[in-house]
Amino acid sequence: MVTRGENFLRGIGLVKNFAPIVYFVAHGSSSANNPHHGAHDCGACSGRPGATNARVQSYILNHKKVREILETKGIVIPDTTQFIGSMHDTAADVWGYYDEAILTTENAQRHLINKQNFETALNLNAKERSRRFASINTKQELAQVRKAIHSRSVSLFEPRPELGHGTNTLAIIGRRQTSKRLFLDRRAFLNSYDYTTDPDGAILTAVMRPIGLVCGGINLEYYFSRVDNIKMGAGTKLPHNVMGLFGVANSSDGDLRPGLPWQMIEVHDPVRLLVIVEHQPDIVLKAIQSSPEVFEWYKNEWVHIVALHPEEKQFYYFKNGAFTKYEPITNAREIKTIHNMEEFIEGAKEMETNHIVHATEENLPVYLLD
Amino acid sequence: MYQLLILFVAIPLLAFFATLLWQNKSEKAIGKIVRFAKVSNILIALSFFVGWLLNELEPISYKVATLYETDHFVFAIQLYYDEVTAVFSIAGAFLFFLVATFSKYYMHRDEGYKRFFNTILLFATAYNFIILAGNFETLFIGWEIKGICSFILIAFYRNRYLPVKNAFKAVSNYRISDVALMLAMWMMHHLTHQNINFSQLGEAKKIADAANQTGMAIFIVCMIILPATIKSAQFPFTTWLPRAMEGPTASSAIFYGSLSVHIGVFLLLRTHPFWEDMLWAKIVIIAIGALTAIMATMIARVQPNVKTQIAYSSAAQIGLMFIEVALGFHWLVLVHFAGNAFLRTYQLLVSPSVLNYLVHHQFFHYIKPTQKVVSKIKASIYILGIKEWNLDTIMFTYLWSPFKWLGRKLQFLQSTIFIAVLAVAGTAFLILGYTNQNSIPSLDGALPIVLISIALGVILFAFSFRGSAIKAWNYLITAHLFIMAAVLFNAHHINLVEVIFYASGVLLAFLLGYYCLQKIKAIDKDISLNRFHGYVYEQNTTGFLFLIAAMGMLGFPLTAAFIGIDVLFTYVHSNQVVLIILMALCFIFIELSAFRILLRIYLGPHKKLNHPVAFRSS
Repeated sequence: MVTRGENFLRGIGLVKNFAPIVYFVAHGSSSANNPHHGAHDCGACSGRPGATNARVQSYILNHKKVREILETKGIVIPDTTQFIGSMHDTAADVWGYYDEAILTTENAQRHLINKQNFETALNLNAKERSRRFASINTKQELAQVRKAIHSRSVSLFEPRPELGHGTNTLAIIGRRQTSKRLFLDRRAFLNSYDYTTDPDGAILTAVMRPIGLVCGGINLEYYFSRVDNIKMGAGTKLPHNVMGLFGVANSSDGDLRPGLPWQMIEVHDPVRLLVIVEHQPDIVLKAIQSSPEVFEWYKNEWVHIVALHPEEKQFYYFKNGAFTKYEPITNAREIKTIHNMEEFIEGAKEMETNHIVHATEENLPVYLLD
Repeated sequence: MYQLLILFVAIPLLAFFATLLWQNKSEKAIGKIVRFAKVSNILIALSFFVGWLLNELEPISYKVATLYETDHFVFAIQLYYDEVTAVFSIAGAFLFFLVATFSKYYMHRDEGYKRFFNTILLFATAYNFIILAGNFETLFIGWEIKGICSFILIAFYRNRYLPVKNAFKAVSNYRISDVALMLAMWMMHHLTHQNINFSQLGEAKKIADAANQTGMAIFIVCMIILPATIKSAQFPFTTWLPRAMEGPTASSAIFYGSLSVHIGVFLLLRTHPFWEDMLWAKIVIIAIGALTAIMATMIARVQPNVKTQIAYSSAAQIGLMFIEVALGFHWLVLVHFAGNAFLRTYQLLVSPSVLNYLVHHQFFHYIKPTQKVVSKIKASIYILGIKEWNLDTIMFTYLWSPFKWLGRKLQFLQSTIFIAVLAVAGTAFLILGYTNQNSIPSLDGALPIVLISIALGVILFAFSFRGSAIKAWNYLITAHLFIMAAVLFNAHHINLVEVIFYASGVLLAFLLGYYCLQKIKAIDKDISLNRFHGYVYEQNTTGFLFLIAAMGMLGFPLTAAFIGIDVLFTYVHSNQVVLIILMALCFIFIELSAFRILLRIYLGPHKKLNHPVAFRSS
């Protein structure tokens, strides 16, 4: 238990300045009448929601004995800090919390305030997502958008309960300040990691271990399903017929279909994942070379990797076994700024026709937020 | 009030034409038209039902129009409304509403959005036509349109091989049912010497009894049971049903889960007055129903995929309905029909959920299966069920292969000289037949048989020909010449207008089809029937035009040829067994040959590889 707890905290760089309540947020997805349900849930949890993991992890870190041993290892968690497991239903935009009863009175009050903030965030998240759904009018009241998103997730006749990881292109491994005020249009996996707590890269090695498998795996799943949806993906899901309890086929006597269905990849641009790690290039190189199964993701260019040198503020792109300096081709001044997020989302470009080429034209470039 | 009956058909038909005017991306506009159609369909069905209740439940018969009339033949559109129609129309309207609403979201952004709604609107028209039909001719119009809608929806994903193959399988079965119905109409005409309405079926039976024409009556009943068996997927035709589940789930739900597949039951209910006193007919129907119920249950319980399970369970229930119809429990049948139709529609629509439900169940209530010794008999039944009683193979080997074999034996016809000789001979016979109807002895009926045999030979040749599609198409029109000549020689007197009806429709269809094929040939000089070309991918409109041509070629209710074929049939006498069998085979295989050309040239995987192409087995 201690090892699990410690590795987790060190991995995300959370070793001091603990807030009174720390939330573990798992993700899962609710959808009805959808044989590809599992593809919307957590890939690292074998296509199931991660709720159990969140609950277990918070139980571990709330444990008195665990905290005592962690203290001897230099991680001091104040007695006032409590960990809470929770889950975000990414299709319905609903957030549920586990074991709220363990909270102390002060923390329970803080929790109430936090919950309200989370609700606001969910509303805005729902609005941002709604621009991609033709059945929802993005311009209506937030509460109504939220309601429409929710009913969509339980609708029997909705082949697109959510767009899942569609459009994923980035994995940013670093402090969250690094990517703050950056609008990435839901493209990035954000992995917390603080290079200042890890000068020799020992933790980075552990952090980088699942990146290729999980983020790269998801990215390639979308990539290949999009490149040739008919052969490497599952094709349109409308005629799918559930075979046994393990797969779908197109009809009574067709082959089992691999990959993702058309409805999940329409908005996806098939580009390989770009992993950005905030650390010195030589340490990043050491971390990804730590084991051959990690290194082959990068060596064989299944995913791209860039080291963001924290002191120089320079990008180093990994190519042919070495990191070399990369000069961005886009001038920083060309990146526009969003002043009013709601207006911006409402005014975003809508597809001309329902053809797949026009669907990906809805994808927005990078913006700054003010 | 009776005029309101027309609305049942007119509204979906108008909506169908209205949706044709929009483009695929105009989902909102198409959605509005469909909403109008589906809501008014329910309103009409309900309000007419209430009106009919207030009118003391008397069956309503209403003549819409007489399309063609001579001394010996009347072709009228006749509508009829009774309790059977009431139940079928209300259930149909609600199911159409459900499926249309479901599909509005489900089909969103599909490349065939417009095509899907066009087809189901046309299907609604055909369905209402069938259930409201007051005579065989009207029923037959709906019957044919419904068959085509079925074909289009099974082959909805037309650039994959399996949907196209299975659509053809369904259409081959449907065509037998169409021709059987045509024969029933033909014999009924000879029996009663008029075009009788369904309300007069009881009288028709009395005529048969009085004239001591039991043979004719038996023939008619057989030709009613056969199409009912095929359309309702009863033994031995059951296997087309699970294979028809190729289109979007919603279309499978309305067609093969609910409305379409119960049409056989409807036909039996409708014609019940005619055969209610014939014990043998009841025994046959009960036997078919019982056999299907047992067989389909055994198959359904061991099938590994959800849609096949539903299809076979539905067929089993329909088997029970057959038994109920034969036993005379008509209200029970109507309740059973409505229940089964709604249940199967629901099951099919939520069939993607089965994974969630059952995996979830396993997750929480997993019981490790215990190893048991399975008895030999149980294992045999299991294997029999998995193999679907080998019915599919049996049908193919014993029903279709002999004709293919015969067609291959006729490959000597492919030389160009032959087609020229045939065309000239056909035309000569046609002119001769028309100008000298009485003066040339038809050699005791042998000449028509010879001519129709030539026609059948030519059609079978085209059916198994693997060379140029244009050549096959030319052979089909030649076959039509011989069919017409045979009929002319068989008749003592024939109206010119009837020949023109027939010839004009077929000729128009031929020319249209010829143009479409030439257009494809111009692309890269290859239109051999040896493979699938899938030209609909780049020649969408041409493909559609060729579909129309193929339908026109066989007397689909598009051109005057439809009436022409029905009229020409009446010139074959009721005792000419050989002639009528050959003629029926001609009409079965002429459609199959025309559709085979459509399939090979326009449907299936596109031959060019500048875009994703699905595996043949996917």
